[in-house]
Amino acid sequence: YVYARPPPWSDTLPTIFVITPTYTRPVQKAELTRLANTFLHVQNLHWVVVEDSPRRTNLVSNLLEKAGLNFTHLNVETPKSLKLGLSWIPSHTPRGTLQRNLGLHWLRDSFSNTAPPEGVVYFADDDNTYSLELFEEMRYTRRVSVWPVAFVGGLRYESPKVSPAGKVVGWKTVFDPNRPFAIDMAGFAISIKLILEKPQASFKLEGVKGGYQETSLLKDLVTMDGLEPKAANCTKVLVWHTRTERPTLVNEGKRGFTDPRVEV
Amino acid sequence: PPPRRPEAALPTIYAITPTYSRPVQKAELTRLANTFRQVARLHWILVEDAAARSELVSRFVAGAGLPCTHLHVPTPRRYKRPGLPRATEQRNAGLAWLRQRHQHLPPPQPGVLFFADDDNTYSLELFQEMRTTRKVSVWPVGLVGGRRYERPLVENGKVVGWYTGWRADRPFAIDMAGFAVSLQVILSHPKAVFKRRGSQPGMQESDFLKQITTVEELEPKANNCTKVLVWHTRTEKVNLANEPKYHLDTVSIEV
Repeated sequence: YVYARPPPWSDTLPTIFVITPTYTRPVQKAELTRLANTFLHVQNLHWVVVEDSPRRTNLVSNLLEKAGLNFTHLNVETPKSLKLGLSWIPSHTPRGTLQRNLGLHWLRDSFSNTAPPEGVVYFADDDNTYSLELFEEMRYTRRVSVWPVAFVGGLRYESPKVSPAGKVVGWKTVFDPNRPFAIDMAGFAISIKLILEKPQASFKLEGVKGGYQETSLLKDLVTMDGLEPKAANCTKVLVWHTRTERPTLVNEGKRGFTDPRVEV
Repeated sequence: PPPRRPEAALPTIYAITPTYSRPVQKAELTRLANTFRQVARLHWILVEDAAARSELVSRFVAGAGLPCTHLHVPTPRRYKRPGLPRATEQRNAGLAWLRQRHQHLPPPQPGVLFFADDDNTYSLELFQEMRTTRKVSVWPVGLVGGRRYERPLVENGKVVGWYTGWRADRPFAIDMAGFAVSLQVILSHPKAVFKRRGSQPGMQESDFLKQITTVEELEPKANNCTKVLVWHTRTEKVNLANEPKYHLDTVSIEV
C-alpha cells in the first residue's frame, strides 16, 4: 500500500494540535480511519490521539504509523471508580476528560523548555464530522475562538450569539443557555500561547454538571467578551456532532464467531 | 512500495453514491468527500433520491473538490416500505449514466465502479485494491450481517464460499460495499441492473452479480480477503427535540 501524505509542513503556518480521546469498541478503527482521511488534507496538523486504555493498543499504533500524519500517541485509563479513603465511589468523570487533560499536559510538557509554535489546540472527538474549512477558520485564533456546532442540545445546531459589533454576547441554545460557556467541545479552539500562559487550566474531573465540562476549562482561560467568533460571525456550520450507531453483533454469539485475529 | 504508475494510465474509479435528504446528509457527504479527495482519478456519481436536484447537494457538488456528476431520480412511493431494498433506482441511474457516456467513446476506457453508500467508511487502501479489478473483485466488509465482518472464503486465489451471518446460501452472499466491477463488464452487460420485480429482500447484490459474473471468476482482494478495508458504519438519527415550532431563528442556516 502506498501511503498518503499530508501537505508539506510549513514553517510560517500556525500549527493545529488536534486532541482526540478514543476508546476500544467495534467502530473505533472505522472512526479513526475517516478522521485520518480528513486530517490528511490539513497543513501543519499534529494529531494527539489519547487512548482510554491501560496500554497503547496495536490497532491504534498501527493505524497511526500507516496514516502518514504527524502524530503523538498517548494513553490513560479512566478508572471505573475512585478510591477515597476506604470506600469506592463510582466515578462521574465525563468520558474523555482524563484523556483531554493528558493531551494538554503533553503540550505543556513539550514546550516547557522550547519556544512553542504559533498555533491552536482543538478537541476533536473521534465520531464527529469536520469540514476542511473549519481548520482554516481556527488556525489564526489569538486567544479562544468559537463557532456553531450541528446536532447538539437537541437542535439542528447551537451557536454563539454575536452582536453587530462582532462580539459574543450570549448563546443560542435551548438547553441551559445561561451556562458561562454554553458551547460544545467541538465548538471552540484555544491558542497554544494561552494554554501555556495558564498552566492550571484543565477540565475538571469530578462534580461537573451535565453540559458544564467545557465551562470547567474555559472559565480559567477567557471571558465571554474575549471570544473570537469565526465561521462568518457564527452563521455557518462547519462541524457536525454526528454519532455512530452501535453495530448489532448478534451473530457473534457468546464466545465470538469471527476470527479475532482479523482486525476490524 | 511498488512504483507509482503515471496518473494518466490509472484506471478511473467511479463511486456511485445514492443519497437522500435528512439532517446528517451534508455531514455524511462532507466526510465522504474528504476521503474521496485523497484518491487519484476518482469520479463521484452522486444520485439523489429526489424529484429534482436539491440546493444543498448542488451547492455541495459545486464545492466538492473532485470530479462529480450530480444525478437524481425519485424512488416510487410504492417502493418506500420497510423491508424493501433501498436505492435501487439511484444505483441504476448511476449505471445508466456510465453506459450512456461511454457508448460513443472508443474502448478501452479502463475503469472500475463500486457502490459507495454515503454512511459507510472507506480506507484509502481499499481504492488501491479495487483499481486493479479486471472483471469483478471482492473483499471483506466490517460490521455487517450481525458480525464484526463478513468475507468471501478464498482457496488458491479463488472464492469458494462465503463467511457471512445471513443466508450463506445466496449465490453471492456479499454486501453492496464488498465488491467492484470493471467498466468493461458493465458496458458489455447492458441489461444488468438492480431489480425490483421478483427480487427478494436481501438478494439485491446476489441478483445483480449473477447477471454479470460467476463465483469462479471473482478476484479476491485485500490479501485473499483477510483484511477489513471498508466498514458498514451507520449514523445515529439526530435528536432534534428542542427545535422550536415557532419563533424560529432570524437567519436560515444550512446544516
